[in-house]
Amino acid sequence: MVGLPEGRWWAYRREDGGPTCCRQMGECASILHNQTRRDERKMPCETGQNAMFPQNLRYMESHEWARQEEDVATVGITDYAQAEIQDIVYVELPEVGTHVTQKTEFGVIESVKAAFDLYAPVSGEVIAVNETLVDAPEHVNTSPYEDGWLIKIRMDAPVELEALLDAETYQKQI
Amino acid sequence: MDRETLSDGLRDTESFAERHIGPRNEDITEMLAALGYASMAAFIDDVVPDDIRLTSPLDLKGGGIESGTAILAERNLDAGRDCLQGMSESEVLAALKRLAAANLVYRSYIGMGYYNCIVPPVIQRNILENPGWYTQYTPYQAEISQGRLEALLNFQTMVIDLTGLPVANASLLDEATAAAEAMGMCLAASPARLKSASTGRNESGIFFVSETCHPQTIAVLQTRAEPLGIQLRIGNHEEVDFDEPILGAIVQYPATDGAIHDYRGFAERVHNAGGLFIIAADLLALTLLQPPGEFGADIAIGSAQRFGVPLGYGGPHAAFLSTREEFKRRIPGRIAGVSHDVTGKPAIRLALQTREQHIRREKATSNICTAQVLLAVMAGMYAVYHGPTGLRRIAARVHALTCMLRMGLEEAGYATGDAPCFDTLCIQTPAAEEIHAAARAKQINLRPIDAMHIGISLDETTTAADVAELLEIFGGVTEPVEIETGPARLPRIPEEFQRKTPYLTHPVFNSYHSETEMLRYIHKLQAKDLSLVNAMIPLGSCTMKLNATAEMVPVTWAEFSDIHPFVPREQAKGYHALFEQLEAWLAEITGYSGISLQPNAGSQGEYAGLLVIRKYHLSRGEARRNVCLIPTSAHGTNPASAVMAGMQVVVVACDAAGNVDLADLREKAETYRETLAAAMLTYPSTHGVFEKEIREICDIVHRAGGQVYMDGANLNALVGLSRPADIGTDVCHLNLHKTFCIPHGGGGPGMGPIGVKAHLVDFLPTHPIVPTRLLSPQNGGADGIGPVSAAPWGSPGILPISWAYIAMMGADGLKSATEVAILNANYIAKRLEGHYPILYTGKNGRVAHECIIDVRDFKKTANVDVTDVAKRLMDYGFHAPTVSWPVLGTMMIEPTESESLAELERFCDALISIREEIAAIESGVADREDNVLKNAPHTVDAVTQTVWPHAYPREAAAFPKPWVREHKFWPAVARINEVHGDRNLVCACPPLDAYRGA
Repeated sequence: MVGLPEGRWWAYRREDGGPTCCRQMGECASILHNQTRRDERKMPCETGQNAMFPQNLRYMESHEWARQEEDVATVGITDYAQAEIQDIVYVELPEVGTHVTQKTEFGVIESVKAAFDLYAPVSGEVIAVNETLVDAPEHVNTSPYEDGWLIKIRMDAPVELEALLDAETYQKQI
Repeated sequence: MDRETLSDGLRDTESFAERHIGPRNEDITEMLAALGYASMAAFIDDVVPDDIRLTSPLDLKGGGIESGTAILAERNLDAGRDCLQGMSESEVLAALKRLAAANLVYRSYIGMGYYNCIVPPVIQRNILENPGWYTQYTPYQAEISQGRLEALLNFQTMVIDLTGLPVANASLLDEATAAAEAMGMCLAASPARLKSASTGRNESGIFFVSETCHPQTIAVLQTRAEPLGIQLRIGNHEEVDFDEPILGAIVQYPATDGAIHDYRGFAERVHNAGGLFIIAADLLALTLLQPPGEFGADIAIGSAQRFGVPLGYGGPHAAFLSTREEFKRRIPGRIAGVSHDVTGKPAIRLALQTREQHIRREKATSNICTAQVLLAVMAGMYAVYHGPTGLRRIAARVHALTCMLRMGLEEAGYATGDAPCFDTLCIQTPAAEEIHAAARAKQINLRPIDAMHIGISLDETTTAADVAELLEIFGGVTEPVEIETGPARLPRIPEEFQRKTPYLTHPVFNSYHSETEMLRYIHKLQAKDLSLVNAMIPLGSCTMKLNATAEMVPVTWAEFSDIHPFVPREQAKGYHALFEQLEAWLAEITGYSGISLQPNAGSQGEYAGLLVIRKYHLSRGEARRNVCLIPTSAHGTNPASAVMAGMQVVVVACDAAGNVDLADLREKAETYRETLAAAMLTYPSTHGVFEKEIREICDIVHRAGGQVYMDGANLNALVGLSRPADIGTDVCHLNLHKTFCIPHGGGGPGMGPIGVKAHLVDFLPTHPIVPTRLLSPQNGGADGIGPVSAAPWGSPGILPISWAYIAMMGADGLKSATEVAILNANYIAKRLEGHYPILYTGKNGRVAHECIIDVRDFKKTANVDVTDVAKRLMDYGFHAPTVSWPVLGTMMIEPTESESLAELERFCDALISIREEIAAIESGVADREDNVLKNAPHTVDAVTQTVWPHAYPREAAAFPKPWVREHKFWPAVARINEVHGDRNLVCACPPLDAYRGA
């Protein structure tokens, strides 16, 4: 597993309770393994790839990621963050057309017990928000980098991305 | 026989303190010995810092303020007794009877949001007068709270149906603050707020208030709006033009003068101006009138008092708030929501808690914490008992009598306006004063609107004979005008206002109409709730002490419960004597110079206290002071209240020992030296420690120009030993529902009076209708902040409880109570310290009146978290201590002085047994997933199922220790799925087939 410390794998349960990680449950030393509960579903470990910290993204210390597609940045929260928060029950997102500024709050993500402010990785205009999260906020848990994307920003200055962390640096500072 | 022995023998054998305090003298000696002390004095010397100790006993003889104390003077003249010792229960009941006799119960037709009603006796005796309903806490441990949660769901459903809006909460403090909360929702929902650079305050927008809202509502809105930068426009909704955007608008329905208006056009104008439309509505009227949800309302608020809750001279009453689906995450207060447990059985719990102050702190939707749950339960049960038909009958009768009165008055030549009405008339007459006098001669109160107008509101208790009497007073016809009252001929509300939509169709409102059925329903729900009648509830910072019967008995006496808040003062002399005495006692206990009894919850007290501080700074020309320093360990209401008071919250760190970080405080006090308004502290700290630097902390704040606000939630560790004012604080609130025995009621009622030092007395809250500080030697309250509650003295109906407690304990008893509270907590800490780490201790390694046990490590070693421990305690028959506050992943235990040694031991035994269960998992003997903690709580259904799927025996699940059998309390549901409940909010009663499948 590229970039991951030895033995640090995510372990998840299938619906029937059996382990689905590439490694068997007992061998997993991940701190989040111990937080798995019987009635929770999790994203299956993706065939040993370093799905937890995709290389092609930029990261913030506050656990948001940004993926650049020309002048648009897609934004979400990392797998580490969603596992810490656990089951997400609600995501509060800005309206399309709102202007956001790098490192200022643009929304809130909530579990049953806590609420976390979301910080914009770049400045720009919000051109899309993920409407599926209204009825299915759990997408952020099950697919934090794909189906669980939060907003898309048309960037004022793509150079702002360079101020963010790369995968390795983000992972190290967790 | 010598004189001493004789008087010994004659000494009253009833000592209330012995009944209130749990441990016997022998137990106390034993506990002290276990901690290594020969005497209580030596123990207290070791725990409480010397520099804050009182050197003399409290002097509770009395305020010495005119009228009231004369009634009590005879008590003080009893030979051989002084106020150190306190009255016996019989004496206090006799004293309260004398006070009550000084209240005159006239028939009041004043209205203005308060109406006489009939409390169904079955509800009065089995809920209001039943400790099985009033001693519970807020239902955070939902599995053992399904009774009151269902009652709250009924309340919410009633509000949803009647208002026609789909989301409702589980009560607010009163109609006026509910209106203020609705205004707050408009502010939060508004897209942009302009910041005014010079003042640092928001010019937040314009909010329109109809001049026909109840006057106390308007006044509370004014108080609330000003620090938030909201500009109020008060006017006639028919004439106002919105030429700029507004935040929202509020109107009264029916109006305060009784008129029913068609608000549809106005609703459109409000929406076109970008605002939200709020209706303050009368619940009984809504059984006949078109509901607000059907003509453009975004939010509906009001009082549920007239649904079977006594007047109580102003409270306590439950207020309601309902709104559209899209605003559900903005509403304040608690919401009961339906989810299911792990077996799929429907279960109710508190939903969307992330809105609330205990999670969101300064970003919360409101500072509200304790609300009015017991009264909401009663109002909901009133609807259950009467059902839609019964309520409609009551409303129709009230309306018919009002029409009768109106016709009679018009026949006698009086003008009552043209607008349709429900229960209230506004009569124009130049002879208003004479009419009021004639009314008073018959022991009747009418509403004095102004020199030319009189208001009359009829209610459930009004009869045709009453109407005849009213007509007589107006010099009209003495024979009642005949009105056909058969169903076909009932006077009608005009067609366009008539309600067409059915309401209260759910079976729960149509099944319990005989008293036997109602009685059993009430008891069925009660059986699902764990309360102080079952076991100790060791919730840290909640102070779940005894709510003595003698304290509660007078609450339902007519002379206390049947007085309208706006009667002439001379009719409430008993209440006023009680207020004066209570204020004097609280002032002595706290060391402050002035007390306001107006705030009706601790959070309201914080808010009022901060507004007082703000006004103080304004009066000295220091409007720039708006920063409030608050430690991270503070209760969530603190930052939430500061934001409501228009202050900017700056957080101060705590050090590794859990105390306020002095270096950080010094630095921030220096940084904000020019703009510091206040600091909010809790003492002893929320961690249960008497921080020894408290005087220094107060000095730092004062030197930087700020005032010190003390959160009085932990006063149970101070009374009689130390005083907030002496420590150096300027203002504090008291939680009478903690320290002074008002029962928690499942989440309210509460009372949060504030005490202030001399320099702040002028700024205490006022009230536009009944002046609150008439007798103050200084002034008529001209500099006071506006009202923070609808009623001038908050919830007076429950003040006799605290009065009785203080009177019965006396100075000695109060001090003993504090000492035993501290002893009990330290004893528990001692017994548990070998099994759980005790987090944070103070002087000599002791705690104050509460202690925190740390269970965080068990996550790693046994896959057990604090929730698992809390749920497992239910299997032992206990409610968990406070979970994850003030420190995440821990439990805070406050036994109070009322728990006996046996109960303390039982609780410790349970926790120690649970520690052993955890050890079994750690060592691998028990499975990490399938164990007694993970599967807790175990219901009787689970334990009696045919196939037992677990690795441990049934007995271990349900009866982990032999003594549990004697004290078994079965949780009604298994562990509740909180996530499902928050993703899918259901806050009304689900259809019955949801229950059949489970």
